[in-house]
Amino acid sequence: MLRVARGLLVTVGFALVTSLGWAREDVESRAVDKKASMAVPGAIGVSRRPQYGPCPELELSGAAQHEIQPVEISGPVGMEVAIETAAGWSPLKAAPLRIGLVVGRPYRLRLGGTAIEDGQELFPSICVCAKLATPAGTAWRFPVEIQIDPSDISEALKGGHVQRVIYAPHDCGRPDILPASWFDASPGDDCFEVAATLGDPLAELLIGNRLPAPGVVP
Amino acid sequence: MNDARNDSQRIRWLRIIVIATGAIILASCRSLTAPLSLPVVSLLPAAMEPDRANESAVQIVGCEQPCPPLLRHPLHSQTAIASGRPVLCRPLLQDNQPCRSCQPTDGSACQSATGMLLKREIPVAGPYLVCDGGDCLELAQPTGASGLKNLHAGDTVARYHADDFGPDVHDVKVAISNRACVYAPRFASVRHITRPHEEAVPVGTKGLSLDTVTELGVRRQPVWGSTQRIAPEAARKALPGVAIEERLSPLAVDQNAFPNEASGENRPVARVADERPMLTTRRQSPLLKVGFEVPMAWTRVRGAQVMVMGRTAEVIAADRGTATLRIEEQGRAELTLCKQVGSDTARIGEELDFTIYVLNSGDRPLRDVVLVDALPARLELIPESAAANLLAEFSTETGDDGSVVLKWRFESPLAAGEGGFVRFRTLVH
Repeated sequence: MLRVARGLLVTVGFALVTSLGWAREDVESRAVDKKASMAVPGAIGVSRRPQYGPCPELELSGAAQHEIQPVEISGPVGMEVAIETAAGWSPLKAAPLRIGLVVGRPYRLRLGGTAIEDGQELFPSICVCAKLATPAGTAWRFPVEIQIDPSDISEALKGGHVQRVIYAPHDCGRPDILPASWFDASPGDDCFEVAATLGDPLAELLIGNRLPAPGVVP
Repeated sequence: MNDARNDSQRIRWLRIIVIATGAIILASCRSLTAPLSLPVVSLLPAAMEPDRANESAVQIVGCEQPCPPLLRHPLHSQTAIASGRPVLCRPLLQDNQPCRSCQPTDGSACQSATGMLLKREIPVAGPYLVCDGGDCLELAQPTGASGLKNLHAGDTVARYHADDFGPDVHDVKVAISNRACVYAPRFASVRHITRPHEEAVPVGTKGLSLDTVTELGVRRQPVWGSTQRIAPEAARKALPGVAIEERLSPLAVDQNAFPNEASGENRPVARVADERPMLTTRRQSPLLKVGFEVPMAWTRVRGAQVMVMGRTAEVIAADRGTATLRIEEQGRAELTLCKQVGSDTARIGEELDFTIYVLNSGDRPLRDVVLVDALPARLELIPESAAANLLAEFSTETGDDGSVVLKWRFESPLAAGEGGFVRFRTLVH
């Protein structure tokens, strides 16, 4: 009888210790969830392929403020622009919109307003490739001017993917080649390659998304 | 007997203790979670983890190879996680072209940034200056009574000659002004549209769409046996005319406009550093040697005519092999131009005012002073904005390269030390 009781005691102890181990594993997983919830947006997807998304410019230290390049986004009359940053979506404002973007970081824009047909919205992305060497104190006087053409919007609404590379011509003393200061690359040509032959590529604008990213868009 | 029983009981308890210890160890092993693949702590914001925010702790290992010639993705600050330590991929530049994609040298993949690792080199473009002044490309040469040739965009020169009875009174000289530069960037863009229905269009070499015509035919061969080889032949004929039209974009015009090295043209950057030996020589005063030894054979010569640098020297005294000469110098005929611009920066559509100061910095009066300024292509003269404080006849001409040339012809001579200025306003394009 006593031998059976000892065996039962050992079995109960074994089961108790094993169940405690499972409980500890559960506690560990909760700790991971807690850390994940404290991580910055995008920390989970850091191991995935690069993709466009909000730019956490707020994480820049004071010494990294020189990485911000002012940009002016303009478009047809009635176009409204918003941008998604670490603070969320900015309210839609009538173009032109002058903002400071971190060089090398993609941002997501939101185009709306009466310039877009049937109240639709576009969600292009923009990335500044280089910073302008402006005289001291005049960085905001000379933003990178990004002009969205009405044909860009119409092509994107038809399902096309518009890539526009903004550059500064090398020979600044010569007049513009074309009155509109932009042109379409030949089929198959790389926009960056063409722009690099004429000047310094400064920014890239991609228009094609007509649906917002997962999340709440005001 | 009792001792043996106690020993077996001890062994049994010892066995129980061993089993329990093994169970505890086994349970502990099961409770161990898998090691985290991501160092979550290192991805926290800088405010939450100040120690990890130190950029010096970042290991820079990758992307030392130059950028590939064909780049597909925009520049990103690339980070990767290697062996539990944050790794920063630093994009490098080559020939002022931004690196838009890079891979670390240790073989690990560059991943998108989360905002923590920001130690990288920022590509800087520019400065983009519009300069007016100087004498670029070929040196301006006086021609005719009041003309100047070899005028190109940006040249600012003046022709003049002395107004006295000196031996060089008919020598027409050219003065060159300084260069005034304005930071005025302009932007252009290249667009490419990918339409869904165009993805099926065949694309040939260099991106040219293949407008092909297929011919199908059958060539019969003479019968030499029981079988006959019949092989269909298809041929593709491209339409080069269409392709050529596509390639004849305005880009070709710009790319082919290389500077003519045979005529002394250089790259825009090299023009700035051009030395002007002629100008330096012109401003050097003649070297005069006041005293020199006379050979002993000349000691008995009572009179001599001495020429120093083409000018007659008057012998004042000659005694014991030493002669004292006097040379009359006519003085310098020199005109100085100074160009100033109203602002150091300008945006497209803004106005810029230029002032050119003219000063007779020599010792002799000057006459027939003609000042010309060939405007750069991005500057447009605002009509009726040209003015001068001296009596001058203003006109506009066309330069050798088609640029607009502003011309002032001063009617009155400039006395030594006298000066004036002209002003005009331009519109930046």
